[in-house]
This record gives sequence, C-alpha cells and structure tokens, in this order.
Amino acid sequence: MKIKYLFLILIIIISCKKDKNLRDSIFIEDVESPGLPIYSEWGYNTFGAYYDREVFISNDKKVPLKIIVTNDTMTFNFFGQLGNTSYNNMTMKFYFTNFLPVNYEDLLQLNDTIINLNNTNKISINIYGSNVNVTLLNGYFKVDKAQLLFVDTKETEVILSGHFEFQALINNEPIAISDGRFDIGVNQSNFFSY
Amino acid sequence: MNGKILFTVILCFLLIGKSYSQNQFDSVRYFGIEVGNTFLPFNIPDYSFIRADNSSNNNDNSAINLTGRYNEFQFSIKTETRSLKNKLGLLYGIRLTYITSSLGKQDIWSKNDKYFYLLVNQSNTSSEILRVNEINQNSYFIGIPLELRYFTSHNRFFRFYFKTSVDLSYKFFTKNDVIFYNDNMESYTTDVINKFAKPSPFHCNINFGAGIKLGKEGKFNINIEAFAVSFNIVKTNSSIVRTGIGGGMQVNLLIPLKF
Repeated sequence: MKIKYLFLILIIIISCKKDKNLRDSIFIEDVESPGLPIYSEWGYNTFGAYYDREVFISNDKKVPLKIIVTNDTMTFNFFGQLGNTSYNNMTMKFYFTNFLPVNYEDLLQLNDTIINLNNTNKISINIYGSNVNVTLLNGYFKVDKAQLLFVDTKETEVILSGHFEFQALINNEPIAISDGRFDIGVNQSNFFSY
Repeated sequence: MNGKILFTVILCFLLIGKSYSQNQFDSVRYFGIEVGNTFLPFNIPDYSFIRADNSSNNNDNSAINLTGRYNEFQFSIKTETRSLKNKLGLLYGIRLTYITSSLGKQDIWSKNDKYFYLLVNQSNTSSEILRVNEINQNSYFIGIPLELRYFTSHNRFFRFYFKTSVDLSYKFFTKNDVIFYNDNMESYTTDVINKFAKPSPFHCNINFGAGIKLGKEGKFNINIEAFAVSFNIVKTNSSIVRTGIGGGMQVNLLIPLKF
C-alpha cells in the first residue's frame, strides 16, 4: 500500500516538473573555465567571472542584470553570488556615460562594441551587503553581439552577449576580475529609464 | 568497424550460397510473410539551433533536454530453402521497412503542450525563434533481407534455431511534420525541416539472434524470433535522432510449397 502512494507521489512530482522559459536562467558550465557558464548568445540569463580565484556568478534567485538609465549615466547592474553559495550576495555595477538608450531596443547599437575601462570609468561592487572601494586600473567591457529576438514572429527582447575583464584596487588590495562573460535578455522587465 | 562486420556477414552468405548450389536441395521450399519490429536505442545530438532548456554541469548529458522516439517496423515476403539435412535455412525476399522518429518534449504523464525553442533565422542583429511541440519524420524503405538460420535439432514440431541476417534497403519516401505551439507558424515548416540534414537513402541492419519454430516439417509453420544484437550501419536513417545497437523481434508465417 505504501509503495502505491510512493508511486503516486513520484508521478505527481514528475508531472509538475517546470518548463524553463525565456526569463529563467540556464546555467551550462564551461568545461574550460570551471564554475563559470559557457559563453552563449541565446539569452540564457547568466553571467560569470573569476574574482581572483573565486567565482562571481548569476543564480536563479536574483534578476541577473538590470540596465538603468538616469540623467547622464547608463548602469549595468549584475546581481549574483560570490562562490557557490547563493546566500553570498554580490553586485557589480558598470557605469557608462557615452551612450544613453531611451528604450531597450536602442541597446542594439551596442552590437560589436568594446569599451576600454580605465581610471575615468566607474565600477562599484557590493559584497555581502557592504560596498567596497574600487579603484579601476585597466580592463574592458565588450558587447560581442546585440540581437533583437523574435519568438513566433513577435518581438520579445534584446539579447546582449559579451565579455568583460578588469584589474582594480578593491579595498586597496589588487584584485583581477577575469574571464567575465554574460548572455542576458533585456526587455521592459529589466530595462529602466527615468 | 561496421563495414567490416557487413563485409563478413555478406561473405558468409556468399559462401553458404555457393555450398547451396553444390548441395542437392530438399524438396520443400517455404513461402511466407513476416512482420517485425526493431528497437534501437538512440541519442539526440546537441543541435546548435535548439535552445538549451536545462542547466547542466560537466556530468550531465544534454542541455537541450528533449525526448525522442525511434522505431523500425518491417513487413516482408520471404522464401526459404533448406540444406544440410534440413538444419540450415536460407531466407530471402522483399521487405518494406517503415522508420518513424520524433523529437519533442513529450512525456507519458501529460498532454503534449510543452515546447522547445528552435532558431530558424538569424542576421547580424536579429534572431527568429519558434516554439515547437514536436517534429516527426516517417520514412519508407524497400529492400532485400538475407537471412540464415541454423536449427539445433532435427525435424520436430518445436525447433530452436540461431539466426543472422542482413537487410539492405533503399528509401523511396519520407514525410516530415512539424507541430508548432502556435498554429500560425505552419508556414515555417520547410525552414524547420531544412535545419536538419536529410535522412540517409540507404538502410542496412545487421542482426544476430535466435528463435523457435512451431509446426511440423512440410506443414504450416510459425516462427518467433528475437534479435539479441541488432544495429543499423547507417546511423542517420532518421535525420533527427542517431541510432545505436539494440534488439528486435519478428514473427513470420511460412507455408510449404512442393516442387
């Protein structure tokens, strides 16, 4: 009798298995860069980079990227975790002033664009809820591909895929953020202009 | 490897055929019909134009997370001649093979309303993807089965035998069907099908197995046989899944014809 109920529960669990949709994150680990997602251009809503030897990666709990345009600045806000525990919240913000999109479709202009990072650019980092001092030394932020995605002929989002790397003094300690990659769908749900 | 096995099997058939020509035929030749089913395991390639649907690490199999189906059904008209005191049978004839395969997210627990994303068009700054429930492919082949069976016992009502066979066929018709999540996307059917390679026109199965014959010699016989090892040398008879080594089952009815 118990086996019968166990079987029934198993059927219910299997039946309720959720399908991933475009908003969910699909993390496919990169064999050559363990701990990081593969570089992709599908809008898998993932990002990752090495923070010295630890990984800074997206997770299922937080929206991985919000793009916020205010006054004279566009900010790429990456929300994720440091290491393999989702409780270790970490946020990394890139501030850009040369390009101010009005809506998310304008992000297509970033296709194949590289932005060199130096001490005139600003990056802020928040680890475990505390802001840390960042002095940028050098690096780059590259959008390899920006593409407008149509699903069943209906415009859905802009997918931004690219790479980033930089060296910085973080709390006066030299830190390398390396092998950074992102593949994220942007639409009204994570693009803000005000 | 597969080519060597095919060469060896065909060589066996040629040598045995030669021995047949040198031996005196038994007076009974059998004629009959056969139905069969071959179960080949298959895998789904990681198609680059299908969006992954499964987070995975290095230990997982596939990120595209699709299910599939592959089946081969055969209908044959065959004749059999025996030699070596009725212990060795050579069978040949004509065979119609129907191969059906599918790709989708179907499961046995719920109705098939799940879909996957397939990339149909891509330009520098735009991509078009479609929601697809299922892709089906049905192919029909016509060919020649060549089979050898060796009976372990002399004439009895119930006889056990070992069997090896090779089946060479040519595709004469293929029908593809795409079930879209959004019915209005049907105009993209050809675009979706063209994303996959065309199925191979040749089909060649090699089988090793055993069976039992029920019926008196020279009378109506029923044969039930199972293939312990069955493999398709051409792994691309379906263009949507790739086949491996499996097994199969056949039932045939043989009627004696006196000459």
